[in-house]
Amino acid sequence: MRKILISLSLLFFGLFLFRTVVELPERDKPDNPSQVYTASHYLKKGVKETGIKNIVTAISLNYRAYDTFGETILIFTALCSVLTIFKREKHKISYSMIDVSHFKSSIIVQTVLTIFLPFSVLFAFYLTLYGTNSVGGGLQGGILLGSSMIIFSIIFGSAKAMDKISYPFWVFFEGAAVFTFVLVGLAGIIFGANFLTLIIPGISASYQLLVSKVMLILLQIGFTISSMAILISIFFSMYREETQSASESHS
Amino acid sequence: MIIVLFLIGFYIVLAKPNLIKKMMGLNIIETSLFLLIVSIGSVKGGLPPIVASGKGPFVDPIPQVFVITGIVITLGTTIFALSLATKIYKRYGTLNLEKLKRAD
Repeated sequence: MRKILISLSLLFFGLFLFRTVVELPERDKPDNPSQVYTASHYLKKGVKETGIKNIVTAISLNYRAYDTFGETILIFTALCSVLTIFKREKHKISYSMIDVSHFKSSIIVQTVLTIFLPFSVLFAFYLTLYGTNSVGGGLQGGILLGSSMIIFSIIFGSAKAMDKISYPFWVFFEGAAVFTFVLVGLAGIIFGANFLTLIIPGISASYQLLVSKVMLILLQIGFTISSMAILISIFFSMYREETQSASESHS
Repeated sequence: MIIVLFLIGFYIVLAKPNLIKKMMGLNIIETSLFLLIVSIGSVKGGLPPIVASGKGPFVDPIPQVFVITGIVITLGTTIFALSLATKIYKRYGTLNLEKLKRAD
């Protein structure tokens, strides 16, 4: 009975989707309406209006900066929702029990990681700082940085990773993206223009490009730090909860 | 192609009783939608939309911005769903939906 219902609903949805997808304009043709009207504007005038060579970053940080602002609030909300599920202690637990990682890894994995991880962290910094000239952007760099630190703490134990950054900084890092967006946006208001504008009217034209680039780099750095901190915080809250319950059941 | 992926994900959400498999089915549905969005803006033989990378026809940059945002949204929902699944497993000891309906 259930299988008949499932297959009927699948058939119904499949027919529906098929009839919609056939109506879309053909892919891969340069005279699509989306190519002619919107994309050509961004591709031709993007570099002149914003000064950023990477058009995807130009759109997401300049033409559509409000959407990116909403996205920072979204990842922050995801972090808060996970933290309401797992409890979070302050840093007065002794780390002796979770010092050694529970994951038995061979010596090959550890050696490869000690060679590979510095390069991946360096690549993450490259993606952040060069996000305006080549591929990258703040978000990608932050996720790569967070994943590198998660791998590090899985294989090598979490005490060394957590010792590197002290606790008051963590609280700031998690909200870093939202902070930097609001600060850069307010800088626009202080100088007399709209919120989150990158062109400040009081400064002469030769400095404007420099100022806008500096603000963009600040935004990207904030985004990176925030994505990294959120990945790591979620991972550590799950990890800490599991090892705490394991140590409670042992003692 | 995209329709096939979407229907596979949809079938997984409906038919499998394991909770984690349902969440993976949701992930597959969202991946198929990203494929749809990116394929709207593609051009044959197009280059990535970075002005310094050449002179040929560029791929449409707008769908890629939406897909970046979409990936973050998928990340957020998957993180939340998996942490809820962790808590359910710890409380009930099972992840099977049939058994969970009868328990407690």
